[in-house]
Amino acid sequence: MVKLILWAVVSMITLDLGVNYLFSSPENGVQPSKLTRYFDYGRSTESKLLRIVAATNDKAADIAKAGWFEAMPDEVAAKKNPQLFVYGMSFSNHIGRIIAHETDDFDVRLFAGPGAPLNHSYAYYLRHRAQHKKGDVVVLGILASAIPKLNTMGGMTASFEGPATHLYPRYSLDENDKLIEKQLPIFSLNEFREVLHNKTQWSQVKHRLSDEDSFYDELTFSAGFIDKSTYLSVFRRAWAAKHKQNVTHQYFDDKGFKNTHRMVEVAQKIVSEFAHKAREDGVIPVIVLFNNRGYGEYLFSMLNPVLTELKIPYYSTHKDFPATQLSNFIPDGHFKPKVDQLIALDVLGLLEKLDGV
Amino acid sequence: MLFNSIEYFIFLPIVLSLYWLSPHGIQNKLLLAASYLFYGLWDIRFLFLIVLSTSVDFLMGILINEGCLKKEQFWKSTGWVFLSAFLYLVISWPSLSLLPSFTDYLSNLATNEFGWLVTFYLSIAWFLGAFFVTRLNITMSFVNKRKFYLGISICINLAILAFFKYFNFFIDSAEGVMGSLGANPEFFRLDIILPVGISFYTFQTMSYSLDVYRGKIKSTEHFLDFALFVAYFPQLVAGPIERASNLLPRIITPRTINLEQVKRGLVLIFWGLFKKIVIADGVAASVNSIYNSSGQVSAVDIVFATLLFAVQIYCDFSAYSDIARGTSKLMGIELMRNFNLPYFSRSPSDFWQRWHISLSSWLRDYLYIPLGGNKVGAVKTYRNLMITMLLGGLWHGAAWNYVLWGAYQGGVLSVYRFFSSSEKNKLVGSNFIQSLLAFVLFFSITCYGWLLFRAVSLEQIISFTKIILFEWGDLSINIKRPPLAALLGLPILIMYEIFEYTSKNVRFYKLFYMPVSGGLIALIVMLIAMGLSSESTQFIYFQF
Repeated sequence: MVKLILWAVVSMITLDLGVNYLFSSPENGVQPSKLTRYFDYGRSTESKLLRIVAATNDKAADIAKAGWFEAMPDEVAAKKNPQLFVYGMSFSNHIGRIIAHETDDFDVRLFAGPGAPLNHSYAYYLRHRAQHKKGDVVVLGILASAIPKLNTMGGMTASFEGPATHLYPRYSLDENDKLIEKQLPIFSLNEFREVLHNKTQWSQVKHRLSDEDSFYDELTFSAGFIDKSTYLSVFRRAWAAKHKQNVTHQYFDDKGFKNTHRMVEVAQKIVSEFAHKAREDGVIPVIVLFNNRGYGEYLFSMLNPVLTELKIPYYSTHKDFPATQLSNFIPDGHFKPKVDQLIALDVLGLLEKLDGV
Repeated sequence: MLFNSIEYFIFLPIVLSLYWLSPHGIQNKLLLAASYLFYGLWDIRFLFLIVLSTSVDFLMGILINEGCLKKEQFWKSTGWVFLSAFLYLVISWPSLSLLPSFTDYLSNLATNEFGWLVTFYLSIAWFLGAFFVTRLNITMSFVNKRKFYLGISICINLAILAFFKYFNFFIDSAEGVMGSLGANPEFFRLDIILPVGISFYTFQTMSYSLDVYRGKIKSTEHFLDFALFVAYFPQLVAGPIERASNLLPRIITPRTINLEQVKRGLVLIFWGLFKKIVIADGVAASVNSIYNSSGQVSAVDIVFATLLFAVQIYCDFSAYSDIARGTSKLMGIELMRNFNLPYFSRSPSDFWQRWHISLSSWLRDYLYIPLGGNKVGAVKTYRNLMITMLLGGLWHGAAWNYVLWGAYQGGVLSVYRFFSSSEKNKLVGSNFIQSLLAFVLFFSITCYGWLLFRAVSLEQIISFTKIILFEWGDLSINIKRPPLAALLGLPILIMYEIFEYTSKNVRFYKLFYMPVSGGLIALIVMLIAMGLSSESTQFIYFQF
């Protein structure tokens, strides 16, 4: 038995070193093999961030550049057609592109972040509003699976396997039910890179994330000796999956979204504030609800009261493209292109019926 | 507590260490406490049911065997029932999150009305029952007494099972029948939680009363030992369903543990974890992606999903049995083998000698044979097969698809029996090609059974059956791909089973060179680590 244990240990060490050698960290700009990507999943968030931000923006990975709030270019304001601004994530980008392709009636501009939650989209909209770049119709795309991320402050914590660098505010409600914004003071990839390489500043960031971001977990976030071992990294990936599951279940169960940390109220408040502000500016607010796989009709159920009460024009995918119908989706969880096309046409139909467009 | 949880791997070494250090007298008490803790961590209230079932069968066992009861025996059982009612029902135990501060925890203890109410009605029923039984006992002959007490034991066990498992099912079915006749009744419904493992421990305790009645064993006078037989944690919630004649003597007599047992136990636990974490949990999402989908799916999807479900249910359930047997071996107690390479069966009767052996042999011994088995003529034999399998199906759950599955299995067994009743007409040949064809044919038949078992509604059964029979035009594949760990683990599982089948030796791995065994262990540990990333699912058979 002792001999067998020794052989098992020797084999484990060999396998650990062999896999680490064969499937070392992928390089930015080079499409890694599936196995290289697989064994990278278990490495710490910090080590992945260090790799994707690289030394300069040119060398940085695409995911590191995505999702940062960018100022609206001036030439957009000079267009003749009604301006359609679409805020959201890849799902909203897909339909925005199809709308732009299908019609010349709108000048379409897309603003998105990878898997971005509602707080990202709303904050992005507010930045442009502060710039007085308001558009004529503003679409806020909301993704069901990103709702628990209302309790995050950036793309680093909830997506352990593929963290993004972009940051956004976390909103909460004060005692008068007003939205309060809390954000890390980093506004671009350059600033992020600087902070990441500065021990003191970075530890302050981690400290704030640990206090204010529900998905933050020290074991999965911080780099260390676990990154050197394949076995330990794979175990860490499992730990990260369980951690994410546990945190997500605080906000979501088989009955729908839960009001933990007043999350449901925050989501509803953001939608109503968005509608009020847009209408104040003479802009038409539109909401598109992406009820994606695993989330049934819960997003619609959560926001329907506020949409109905404020008569906000909306489109929800749950009726025609149910989240429970597998054939609507591709393996990575996005809608199939033909479904995107149909959703975009439905949204376009909605936009064309709006008064004042 | 799940076998594949971190809590279990903290719980088990603590229990084992204390167990190995204790003398036999203490060992059983320790195991009983551990078993109640194991079960109580899921829902402490249902421990009361276990104690109630234990006490009733303990008393009935003695009454069946001896026809009378000592006062001490009655009061001991009564004490346990009421103590458990107080501890598990009357006291509202606060969340364990308050445990670090013991004073906080104690100050949050409270009693609840429901618990007092149940205890009140229980005391009336218990003492009235005792009074009438005492009166009747005087007037009955010994033979009648034995039948009477066996009847009480079976009725109480079945009543508990029927109430917790089938109450709402029968109400729904009655409503459905009346609805189809034009009536629109709304019956009373209860919000009942199904106690984990109730079918397993109920059948186990019933087998005790039946075996005492048949004279296969003598009733025990040791209440705590009997309580351990009912609640023994390795097999409490999902079997194997042990017979009293097998397990009780092992509990009562002192155990010795040898190194070979420990090694085999560790292998079984390790292999069970592999099957559960890597394979069963790995393919679960793929199966769900088709069976939980609301829209149109293709025939290819259904075939893949059903094949994967065949793998999932086997790995899930046999993993539980393996871990249960492995854990028990570490304590020197042998449990029966519950699975014996079932997918290598070449006929339905072969399958039922290899699949969930503890249940199929229970049904054979306590239902099929008492009904007359195959000694009562052809027609009655088919009837007996159908009744046995229908009830076997219903045992799995309160839903019509389980009944349908049972009927299908009964039908398959009957058809097989009809065609193979004479030696000349034997369906299965002995050469390799015939054997292979028999494997493939019978595996396909089994898989259709799994479609009935896994389906979420009767509509889905009809729709999926139509698609796989008539709609092969759409060959699109939408099923979610299983994760890498499962894809790498499946060939290992298949090779393992082929080696075991061909070598006819469960310890065939001992023949491997040491470096090969070491390498396999390293690989399987890696796969388990990879598989842990899949969402952990509860063992399928917990719901039964």
